[in-house]
Amino acid sequence: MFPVYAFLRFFTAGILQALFFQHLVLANGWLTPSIHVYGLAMLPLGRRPWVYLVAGGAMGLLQDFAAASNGLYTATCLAVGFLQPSIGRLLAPREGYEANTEPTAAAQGWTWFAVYMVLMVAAHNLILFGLEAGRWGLLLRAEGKALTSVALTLGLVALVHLLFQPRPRTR
Amino acid sequence: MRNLLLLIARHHRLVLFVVLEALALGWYASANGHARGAWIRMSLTANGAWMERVARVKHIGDLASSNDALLKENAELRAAVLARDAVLSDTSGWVVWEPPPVDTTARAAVPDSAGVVRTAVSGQRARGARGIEVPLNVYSARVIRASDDRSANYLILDAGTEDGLAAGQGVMALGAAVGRVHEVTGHYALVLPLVHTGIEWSARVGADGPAARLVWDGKSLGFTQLRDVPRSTVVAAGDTVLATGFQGFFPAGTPIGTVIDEGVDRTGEFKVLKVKLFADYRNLRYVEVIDVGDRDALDALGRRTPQPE
Repeated sequence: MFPVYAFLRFFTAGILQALFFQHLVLANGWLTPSIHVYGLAMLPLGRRPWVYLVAGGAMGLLQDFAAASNGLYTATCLAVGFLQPSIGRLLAPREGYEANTEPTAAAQGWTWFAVYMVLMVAAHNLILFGLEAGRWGLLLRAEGKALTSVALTLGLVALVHLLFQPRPRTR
Repeated sequence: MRNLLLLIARHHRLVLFVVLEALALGWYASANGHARGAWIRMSLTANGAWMERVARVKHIGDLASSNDALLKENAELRAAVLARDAVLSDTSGWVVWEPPPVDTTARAAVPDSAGVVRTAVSGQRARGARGIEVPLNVYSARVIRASDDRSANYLILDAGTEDGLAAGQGVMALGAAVGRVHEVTGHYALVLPLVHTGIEWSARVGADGPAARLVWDGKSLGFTQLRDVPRSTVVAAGDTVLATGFQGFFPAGTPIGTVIDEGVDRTGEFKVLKVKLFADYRNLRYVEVIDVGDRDALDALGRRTPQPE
């Protein structure tokens, strides 16, 4: 079972994206936040791979429902859910993760957290914008938008993480 | 068979992903991201009220530019009224102009509960480019959401079937073509605009030009392309591009934009014209929805065309 706070983070990020951040498209689409990726990325590490796939599908359906985008987000978040265990393994310590290991900066360090989030958000944006472009001629421009939007999303993620991450207890 | 099952069991994660991804991509590809049906209606209904609130917040920030647009529209309307009165008072005998018959059952323009003035005029008759009259119903609606960052852009209007809207109706702003109604619920409508890469529109240069395909290339919201224009067609920068009316969304002769540049396609047989759109897509606030009255009858007639065996 996932800890309750993992569920809370997942749904809060999904709802915030659906209700607020999807309306916050800046600079003609060159800065598009995708804060729901934070909800996906913050799922505990070391779980069975199908769990991330199902979570990605659920997050995608929620975003498609809110944005009337007919499968665009579902296809994207499923792909991110598929890649998530591989990204986690890529950054895993030699002994691997224990079940329910927190992918937070407090638990893994800021460098690990930054690289993990860059990979997750970049994977999401490159797939989403690539699919949305719909034709080869628009692909380069779309992927440019994807990468500039990664920067905005990472800035928001860092802000949220700094504000809400659990503080390590001091005696 | 057993080996196949073992293979699937071994790669169940990949198989599950491929199946789910194929379903999602099939769903998305069914109409370039804007399929019709129960899902989109449910989504529109559920999100409409929220989008309306978001639109109101955005509206506050846009009041200055909206005010400018309204002032401009008022000025243009006043000019049109003055011109009409001038024609009616002309006693020289050269000009005969009859105001279009307006149905006396047309609703008065009164603010609704949200304070928005709605008008619905039925029984108007528009004179097309070749002088053929078509019956028109015109409804007004407010844009509560617009995407401008996608290749499959869309608008959402705060009017639906209960306001007279239906799929296939044309959408205009300040007299220029904007798009067409794609899906509609009781109170909301999804509009696919001219700036949508998945849709082609029938248009021509001037009232007598050959019909050609108007296609958005996905690059700039202010410009689109008129393709398949025969090279023999004489075109100059500044020429007006009009809807042919063949698709039934707009009356023939509805202004779309002006030609600003011309080139030749890859085959070398046709011209490709760069068209500057009249409708300012980023600043759309209120639009008129046009129901070309004979559309259903014409569509039914079209469907009776014998199919090749």
